[in-house]
Amino acid sequence: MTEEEIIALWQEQVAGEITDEDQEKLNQALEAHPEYAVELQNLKKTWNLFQEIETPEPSPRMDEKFEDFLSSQRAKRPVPPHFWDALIAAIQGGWRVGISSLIIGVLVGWWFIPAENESSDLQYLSEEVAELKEMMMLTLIQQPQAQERIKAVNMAGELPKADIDVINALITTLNQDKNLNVRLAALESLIKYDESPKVRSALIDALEIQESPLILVAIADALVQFQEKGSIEALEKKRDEISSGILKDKLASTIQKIRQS
Amino acid sequence: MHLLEDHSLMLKIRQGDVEKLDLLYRRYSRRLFGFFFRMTNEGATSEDLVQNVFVRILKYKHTYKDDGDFEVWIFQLARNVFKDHYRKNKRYAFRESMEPYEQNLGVVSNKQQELERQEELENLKNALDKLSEEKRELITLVRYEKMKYSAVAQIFGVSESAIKVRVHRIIKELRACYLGMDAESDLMSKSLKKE
Amino acid sequence: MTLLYSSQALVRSIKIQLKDIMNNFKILLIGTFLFCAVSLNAQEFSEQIAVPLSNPKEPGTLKVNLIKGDIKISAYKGNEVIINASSGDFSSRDECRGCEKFDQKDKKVNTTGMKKISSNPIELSASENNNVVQINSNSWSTRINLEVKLPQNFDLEVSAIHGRLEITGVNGTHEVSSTNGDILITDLGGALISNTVNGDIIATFSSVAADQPMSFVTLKGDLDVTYPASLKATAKMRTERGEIFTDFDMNVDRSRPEVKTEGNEYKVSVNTWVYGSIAGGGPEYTFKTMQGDIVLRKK
Repeated sequence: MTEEEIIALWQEQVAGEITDEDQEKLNQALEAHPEYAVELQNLKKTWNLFQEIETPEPSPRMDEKFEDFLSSQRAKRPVPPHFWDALIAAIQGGWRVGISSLIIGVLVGWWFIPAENESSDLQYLSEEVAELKEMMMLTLIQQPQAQERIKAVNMAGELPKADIDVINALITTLNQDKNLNVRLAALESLIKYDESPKVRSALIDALEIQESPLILVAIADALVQFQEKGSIEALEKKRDEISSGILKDKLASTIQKIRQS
Repeated sequence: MHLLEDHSLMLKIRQGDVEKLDLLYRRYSRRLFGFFFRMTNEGATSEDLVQNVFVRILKYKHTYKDDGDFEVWIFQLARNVFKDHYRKNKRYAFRESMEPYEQNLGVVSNKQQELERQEELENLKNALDKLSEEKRELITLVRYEKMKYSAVAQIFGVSESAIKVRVHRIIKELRACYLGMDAESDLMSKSLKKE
Repeated sequence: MTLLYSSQALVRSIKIQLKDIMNNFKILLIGTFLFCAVSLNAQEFSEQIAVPLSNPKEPGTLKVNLIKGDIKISAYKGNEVIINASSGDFSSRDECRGCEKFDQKDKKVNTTGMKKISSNPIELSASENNNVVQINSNSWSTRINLEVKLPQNFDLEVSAIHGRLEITGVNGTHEVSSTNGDILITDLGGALISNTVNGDIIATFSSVAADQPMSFVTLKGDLDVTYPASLKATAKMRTERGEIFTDFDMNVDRSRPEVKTEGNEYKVSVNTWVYGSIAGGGPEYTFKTMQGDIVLRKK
């Protein structure tokens, strides 16, 4: 068993998530490596100490504020549903009909017009549209068809500013989407938010998570573009894991380029 | 566990049944408060942030998936609320007085051996404060909120095994850090004796 | 339900389950066909099954996951999905780049001069549920070649690790990937998202779906895609070491080139995206390869 596997099992054990079978494996591994056993024994003290940290109770003010908020929402209820709500519901419901594509087309067109006008009405409108686009993007990104998810991530790359929800959705897509083309498209949209430290650290983390050379090569390109020196360690680790081939060469040249940048 | 019920409540909210938010508030407000308190050390701020999470639930209800995991989702919202707050306020200029909240803490036992334990605990708390935001979030969710690794992995968007290794490293870092503090205070007391 | 079964060396089991789905959905017929082979020589077999669709008039979906073997899919004028599975040889051994490495890995023990007595059973299963036909195999050791005939209107979700994919004449929304094989597509309708690491992607479209994005990605291979002359699209292209060719009238925009200075000369690095709009632009078509060429042809 590798050190990493022992650690994983031990973490399961202290969290009470371990199965009997794994417990047995862990016991055997620790017998074989007493040096870990001692260390883990010590760490367990720290782990247990957490139980003693207490969190205070919130003041009654918190509950009162929530009550106020909820009744304000209740008051809104008789009003017909929010315009965006209705639209999103329509999009979700009638998705397959393809009307939505039309709506998106119109809205995307609509979005480009205000760009050159500075009038405050239009600016307000464009903010609303941006918000709508964001919500639609977050809806689309969960569609079962890969084509729809690609539309969503492309849309995310066009948003005027990087909302944390959008960035998170893109990172999740980069790391978890079952289709590689969608993952790559998510990466391309993330690259546009190169100012965000969150994006940079997500790309470095992704080096560890991703397995396909298609994605790893694209991440390497992005890191060169970002001149992200913080990624060198992770790149070297990945390079050393690979025995040979095009990906190994690519990672090696990437490290060199970032060092020189 | 309320997982199933949470999920169906949230689906009702998504359809516009705002009233159901009340139940979710009762189930999650204390946990969220605990999370924010660990992250900010500020009681009043934490209360506001809890409120923000519930406002966002309504704002982003459309994004909740049919097969969603509500616990994962609400803590994702909570992390984002915290990040936005953190971005706006950059660093906390000073800590507000914690008095009113410390009164709410359970009664501390006065036994002698408890004192040592308390000291170690203080050191651990200080060590926690020194962790980076991301690490503190992670350890709070795992150790304090007692979330399953699988759920935390979803929140952070990384693999479960990566989470376990990270948590392990943090525990190690914490231990090294607070034992370091102990060593420092030992040294100090020794040098005091010399004088 | 018709089952066409022929087998000599194979032990088969057929499970047909009727499942009463509790919602107000109608009763769905789920047929599960399992073939298991435990034989002296698992290298030779040939099986055919026909899977009827729950709603033959509606478009269907085919999902295939194969580890080792070629997949051929073609449209025909019938209502059932006909699956032929055979051991056979690989169409061309060379197409399975990387296979040798795997084979060697499997054969750690020196077995020269010995006879193979038993091997793991080949497991291949096919199921149909509400027009979604799913074919799965978990065989790492034995190559299984699949030939599937299906009605013209089908969405495809096909993936293979070591194998060549050939698809002809299917209309729908498709996802196709093969890690180590070429992807050859002819006469396709609809939209395609496709990737391979070590192979080429060669595709010809008879029609394209409006407003659907497409994406083609490979690391080592070429991308060669032919579209109808009436195409309206925005191509987004990138190759690190290859060239880009097209006979479409393309309005090329290198809006964000990476510019490097070398002395007094400005060099535009090829290592960036090239955008080209065709007939005023349209849905985004992505083409990306590291070592190969990109060819966009007009039919």
